[in-house]
Amino acid sequence: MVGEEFLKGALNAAEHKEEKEKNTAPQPATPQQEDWDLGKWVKNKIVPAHQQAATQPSTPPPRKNFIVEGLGSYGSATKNIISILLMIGSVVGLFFFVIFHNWFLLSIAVVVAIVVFKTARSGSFVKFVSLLFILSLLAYTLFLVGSPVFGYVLHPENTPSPYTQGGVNTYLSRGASTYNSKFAKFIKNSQEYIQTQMKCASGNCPIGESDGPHVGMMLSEPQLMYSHKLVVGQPLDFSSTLEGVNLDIYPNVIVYPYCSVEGKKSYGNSSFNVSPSKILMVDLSNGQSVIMCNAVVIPSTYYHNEVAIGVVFNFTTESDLPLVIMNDNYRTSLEKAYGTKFLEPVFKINSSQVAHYNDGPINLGMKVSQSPLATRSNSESAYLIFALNNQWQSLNGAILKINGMNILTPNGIEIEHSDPFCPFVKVSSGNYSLESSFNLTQPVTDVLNFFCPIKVTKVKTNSPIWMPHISVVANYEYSMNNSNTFDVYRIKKKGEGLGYTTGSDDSGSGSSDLDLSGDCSSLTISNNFPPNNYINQLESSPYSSDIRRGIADGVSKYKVDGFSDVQMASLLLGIMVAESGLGSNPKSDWDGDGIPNHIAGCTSCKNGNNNNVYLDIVDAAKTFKFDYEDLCSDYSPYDSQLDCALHAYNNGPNGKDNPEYRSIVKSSMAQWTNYLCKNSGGAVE
Amino acid sequence: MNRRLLTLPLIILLFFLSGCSSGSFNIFNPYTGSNGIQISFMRGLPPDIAYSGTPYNVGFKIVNYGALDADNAYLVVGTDDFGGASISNPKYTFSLKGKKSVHFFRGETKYKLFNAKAPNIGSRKEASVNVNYLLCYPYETKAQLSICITPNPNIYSNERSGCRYTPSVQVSPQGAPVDVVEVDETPFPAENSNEVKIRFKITIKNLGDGFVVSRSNYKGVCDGNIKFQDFGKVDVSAYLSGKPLTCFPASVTLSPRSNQPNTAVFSCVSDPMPIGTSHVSLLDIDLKYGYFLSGNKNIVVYSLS
Repeated sequence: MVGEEFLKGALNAAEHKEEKEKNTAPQPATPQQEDWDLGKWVKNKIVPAHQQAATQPSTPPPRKNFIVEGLGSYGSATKNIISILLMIGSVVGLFFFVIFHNWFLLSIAVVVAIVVFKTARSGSFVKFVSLLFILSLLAYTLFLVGSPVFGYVLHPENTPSPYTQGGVNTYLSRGASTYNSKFAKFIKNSQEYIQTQMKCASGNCPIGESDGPHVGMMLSEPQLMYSHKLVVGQPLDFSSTLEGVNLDIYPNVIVYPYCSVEGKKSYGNSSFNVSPSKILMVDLSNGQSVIMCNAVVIPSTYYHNEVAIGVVFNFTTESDLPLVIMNDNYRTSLEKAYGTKFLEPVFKINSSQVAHYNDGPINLGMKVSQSPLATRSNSESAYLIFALNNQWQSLNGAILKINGMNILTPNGIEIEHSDPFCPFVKVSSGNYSLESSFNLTQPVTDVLNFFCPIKVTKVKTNSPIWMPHISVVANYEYSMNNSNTFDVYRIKKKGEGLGYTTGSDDSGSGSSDLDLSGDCSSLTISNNFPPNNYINQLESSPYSSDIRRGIADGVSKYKVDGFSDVQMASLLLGIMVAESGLGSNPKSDWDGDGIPNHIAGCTSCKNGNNNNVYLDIVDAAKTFKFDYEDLCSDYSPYDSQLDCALHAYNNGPNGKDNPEYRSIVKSSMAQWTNYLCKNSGGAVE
Repeated sequence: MNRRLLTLPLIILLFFLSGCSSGSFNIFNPYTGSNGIQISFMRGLPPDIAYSGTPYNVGFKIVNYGALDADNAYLVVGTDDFGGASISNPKYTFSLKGKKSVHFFRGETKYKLFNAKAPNIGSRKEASVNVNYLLCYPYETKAQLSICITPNPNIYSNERSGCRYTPSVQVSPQGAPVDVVEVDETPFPAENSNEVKIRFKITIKNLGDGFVVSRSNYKGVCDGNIKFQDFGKVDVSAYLSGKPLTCFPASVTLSPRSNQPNTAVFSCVSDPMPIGTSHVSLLDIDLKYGYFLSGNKNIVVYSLS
């Protein structure tokens, strides 16, 4: 209602006349009654007043809601959206005008605002906002135009502002100019920064040339001293070789080796025994050092575990960029005479000066956006762009942390800390330091770049061409590593339950084996156990640990809906009995190596899992789950879904039924359930 | 017998004398070539390698290959400004006689040494440093052409004449970096029907390695204080049989960015002369300008440790 009252006051005469005409006009078809047509709508709205009177409704529609009515007085929701979009467009136009002082955009914004104002229904929200907007534009324009005039009256001694185009600054206009200048500069810097980022992303970050010899360091893949399959409690010993080339030029750099499992440098409750604990880079020069890691295998969450050997060291890279600077008039004259790229033809100086850095893990490239640089006004900035390019990325190298970084500039050149793309603070004349609050959110594996506005305040030279150097010194923590895998598993002692360790954490405590006993409470248990030869196959055969792991993973990954863990384990054991006598059937060992080729049938034949008991069982679980849940979701004509799935598992969905097979599996499954739940506490005896 | 002995040396002497005119030898012509002053670093000065914070020398060999003398030539030497790198007394003013003065196939040669200091590169193992120079000098081109003048609008008249009219003459360089390369001659009627004027369209070109600046501010490039209008400016004048011609424009601009890079054309018109037959006359063209050259060399600076 505020808007309505405001309109009544502000637009009294015009509104009153319009309302009067509307009230006397014959009622046309309302827009709501017609299909929406933008052209027709606009035409209707911009017809002359005398024609408009004839097309307006005789009585205004009842006003239900301030906003809804305002937006909806001309019809459908589409119209409302168009009005809102027009308003948004106007605001965006004003926004760009404020930033870029583009009178064309301002004109469009004004026209759109007027159209919206004229077409909006009196008292509507849209009309109120559009009026407000027009008044704002008017005020802003008056402010821009008027301030120089008043400024001239008040302070004729002031110099013209670049933003008032020959006008005279006042306090206000200076403020506006400063604000606009900073804001526009920020936007410009942002655009430049984004462009730089895009260039960096496409591999066009500044790249330096290394001075001195090329250095290198390489870490070999960790070699496990024993087997890749380790049991809990076994020694976990592994080693890598660290080699270096020309590292003697950095005699003071110390390399600290470390060992890790699954990315953690601690292993269980203790850390690794790492030998040696530190290496001097000079000792690696054109030679090598063996890094040894010793620990004891602890229960692991994962079957496959990654061990890694890495090194960490602090390194300093210093880069140096020659600049070409001349006074502004000199540069302008040369540009006019010979074009902007005059440096090379006239002075034989390469305009694309390249930074030189000391070789190491980082290539510190630098460049400036203008060459030559010159003393310029505040509104024209040049940029120093520098990038820390990771040279040892392929060796799993990364910058972990920036310990410190400084930009060193000669007297007469300043870094402007005006935006977030240049997080450097001035610590002394010509020395700018990385803000202490700067932190890497993640290790830098590719490139880290900065973008700093640079300003030449004076040219200090006897020669017309001043060639000072600007330096960036970065000290950082760098890491590189190499990895290998080993498998952790353990054979449960009797009474520990079935399966290998899963779900444990690195501490080794709280391991949560498959809690099969917990499933037994709802089952009817009897003393009908599997034959001893099958129990022996499970408990003490050469591949019993593989059977347990296979069952454990098969159950955890592919347990069938509605089955308990015990039932699923029993089913898999039953299938193995039916297929291969749980591996005891000599026919199941095709190649006679003592390991059944396919302990759970030929389900995994296509996967080539010969002699891989573990994968055979996991595959069996996966296949059975598919048979049970997908193929046999409608299990008719079988007595049960289990029968259907066992038929499908044994013969395929269209094969000949084999009731005997199903019977063996089902009876064996019952026996194994009794066995696994024998003590009702779940422990296997 | 004695007469026969004398005849042979006299004949040989006559051969030599036949090459001379006005009592002097005419074998040597200094107004050839398209070079003015040439400058180069002396071998090993500066050295390819210097050591951190140590002194070294920068040496230049400067030769005037042009026909005329160069007075008040101006050399400025600079180096990268970091780590205390410096050049002592980097500005040097000198004069060099041209081929005409020294009567040799090249003019005067000068050697100049500057004391310099390599930058202190701190903990770095090596760095590179640039030594650059700018040489600015005023110069003049004097072109003298024997040209067939045809003071007759009907240039193909059958009247017997002393020489053959050629509308366009290609000219070889005159011992300066800026040279007249072509002269076109066109006679046209004067106000008086019994008289004609000769218009010469003269094309000049910068054939040297450097760039042209105005003679009045030739030091501006070396001092870093020059206006855009000074670049490429050449003041021109011409004389026909010793009488000055009216040239337009009086100064032209040689720009590497024009359609015909480093080339300019101007016209000179003679005073009215009576219609007559073709005859040979001397056309003198005088070009005055400044000229500048630049160059540089990179030195690798090693740490002393």
